[in-house]
Amino acid sequence: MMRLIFLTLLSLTFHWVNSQKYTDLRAGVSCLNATAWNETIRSYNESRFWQENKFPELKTAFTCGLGYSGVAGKGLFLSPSVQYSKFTSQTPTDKIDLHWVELELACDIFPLEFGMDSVHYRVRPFLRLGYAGSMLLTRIRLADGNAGIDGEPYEPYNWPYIFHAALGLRYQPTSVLGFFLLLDARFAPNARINDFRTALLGSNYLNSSDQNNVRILGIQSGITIRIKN
Amino acid sequence: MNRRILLKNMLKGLPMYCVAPWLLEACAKAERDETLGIEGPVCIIGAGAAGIYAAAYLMKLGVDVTILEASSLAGGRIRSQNGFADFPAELGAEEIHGRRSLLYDLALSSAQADIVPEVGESKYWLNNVLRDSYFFQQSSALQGAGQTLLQISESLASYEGPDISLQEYLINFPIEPGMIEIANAIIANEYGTQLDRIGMYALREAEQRYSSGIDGYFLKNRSMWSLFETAFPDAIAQIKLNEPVGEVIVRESDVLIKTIYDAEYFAQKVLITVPVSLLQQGFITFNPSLPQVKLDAINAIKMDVGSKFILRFSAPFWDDDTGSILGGLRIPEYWVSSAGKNSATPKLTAFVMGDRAAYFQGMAEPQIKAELLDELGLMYPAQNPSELCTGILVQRWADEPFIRGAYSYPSPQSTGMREVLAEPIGNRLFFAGEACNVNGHIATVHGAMESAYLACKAMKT
Ligand SMILES: Cc1cc2nc3c(=O)[nH]c(=O)nc-3n(C[C@H](O)[C@H](O)[C@H](O)COP(=O)(O)OP(=O)(O)OC[C@H]3O[C@@H](n4cnc5c(N)ncnc54)[C@H](O)[C@@H]3O)c2cc1C
Repeated sequence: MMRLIFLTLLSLTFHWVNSQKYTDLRAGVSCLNATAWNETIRSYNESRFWQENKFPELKTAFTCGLGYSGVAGKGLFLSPSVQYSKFTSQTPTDKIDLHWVELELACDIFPLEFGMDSVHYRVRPFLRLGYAGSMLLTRIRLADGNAGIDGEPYEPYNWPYIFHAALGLRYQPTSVLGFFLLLDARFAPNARINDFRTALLGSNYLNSSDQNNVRILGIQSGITIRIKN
Repeated sequence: MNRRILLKNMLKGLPMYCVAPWLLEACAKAERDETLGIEGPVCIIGAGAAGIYAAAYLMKLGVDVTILEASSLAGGRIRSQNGFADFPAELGAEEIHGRRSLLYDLALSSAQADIVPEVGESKYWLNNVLRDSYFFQQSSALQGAGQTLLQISESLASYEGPDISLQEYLINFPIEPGMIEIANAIIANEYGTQLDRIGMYALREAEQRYSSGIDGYFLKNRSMWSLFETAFPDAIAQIKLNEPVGEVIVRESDVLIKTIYDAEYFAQKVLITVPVSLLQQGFITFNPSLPQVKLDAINAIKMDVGSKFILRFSAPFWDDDTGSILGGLRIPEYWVSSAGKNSATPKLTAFVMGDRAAYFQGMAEPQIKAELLDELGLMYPAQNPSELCTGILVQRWADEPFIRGAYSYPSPQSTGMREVLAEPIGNRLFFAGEACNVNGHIATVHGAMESAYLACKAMKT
């Protein structure tokens, strides 16, 4: 939580001191690699082998985000953003949802303009390096209702942090409107979903963990709008 | 910016376009194939919940499986009798513990409409008076002893004192003897024994692993065994009855399994699911003999005497809201087993473990009936239960030659021993069954199934 507050404050401060500003809106797909969580899902499918409907592994998500970008130096931008991804694994009767909200502060480096006073190019590659505080909400709905542990509803919130690196390409046909494509890699070390095994499998019989290093690869595209001073 | 510059800059972004299809492909990649690598044939010893579940699981993977069962009936400690009431009378497992388990999911897939939650209130036999739960919790005479007991039972999973017995532990609390009887009923008797035989560390371990949910469910008008019959008919068809295994010989290239009638079977792997009591008593000889740590584990995990007596009545004499009666000196727990069923036959099940169960060993059925009705007569003096009773069904699990007790309980010195018991030996011998469950419930049907799943998973490596 402290991380989120800190990032918000930082982004506000930065908002006041910069002159060159953009907002962006983006959407795309993300691909999740979360070994322990998927091991739990595989075990669920395997151990309930009589069930015809199998949970697919948690893999792809729809991702969307809203960002802000302001110049911090020559060819250097600071970009706070908020992003939402939803990873789902679903059978006709059951569903696992991971809602992942990130609040990120990223630094965008435009290598072609690095050290330059003005921007000449309409198509500009950039490198984004970011760090995000995030909130991960997990919901499991099974055939006979929502999963629960010991009679309590299962509604865990977790706060993983995420390192982010992305390659981007921005196309700026007009001075106001731009488009961009972003190929990102995210890494959430030791991300945990509390009692995921217990909630899904029931008894905690699987000797694995609710915690894993999560890797997410994603591709997003969106529009940027320049906010003139 | 002219087109050439645009193209040039776009080319700089080419890596991204190359990576994108790979990324999408990675997302769609097929799931890992987990079904390969078990070398059969596999011989399963024991056709209880663990054995049948394991057989069905392995057969689904295409493994060649044989199940050898000592008795003339499959199901082990899942057994019911038709004809005694207008629904199958459960002689062994009856309750589905919690909603998050393999057993609950099995019931959900084939008998969803028959799953009913536990109904009724508990009544407490305290100082020769039958009390309801309100009195138990609020009475100033008991000084909130019900609350104290609740707190004690809720804190067992985090117990930090010395490794004493549960009885010694309870003495530290200001609760009167009548309440100790209630504690015996709700903790020790449920765990399959009596207060002084439960070790606090082993109890803590068992409580910590209790994770399928605290609520209880029953099947309305069908038996627990019918769930297995419906879900696993192919596995049940593989069972060879009346084949008590007496010897397991691990050889270089396979395992030779000999029954006490000298029949021989050969397998690459053997899954042993017999009750731990049979291993303790050396019913099966292993050649080479089991490692000492395994023998220590087998000897540390105890099974006590345990019985179920089912009484049938022409009319109920208990209050409509009665679910169970706890704290009897002869029978720690009675429950209304006809509650929640479409039944015209009121029935009480008496559930007794430890020395109190041993007291009924060897006793003739009419005498058992008289003893039980005597106690119920004290509890309900105005209703005269003896006159309403129309029959008794007796199931003494310690008398079963291939079970020899009720189920494994948290005995002193058994902490950490279930892991040792469940450990495979040399990729040939595997162990499963209710006593082997390492991360979930012990002494339950779903615990037995879970242990079987883990044992089968271990065969894959
Ligand atoms: C009175 C009572 C009430 C219970 N109530 C519940 C309940 O409400 N809910 C719940 O979840 N659980 C309950 N249980 C526990 C549950 O029944 C057991 O945990 C579970 O059925 C054990 O399954 P298993 O496969 O481990 O062992 P078993 O069912 O005992 O199966 C082992 C099998 O091995 C066979 N065998 C033994 N020796 C040999 C040999 N040498 N060769 C070949 N075969 C052999 C036996 O005949 C048996 O069929 C209860 C048990 C009892 C006794």
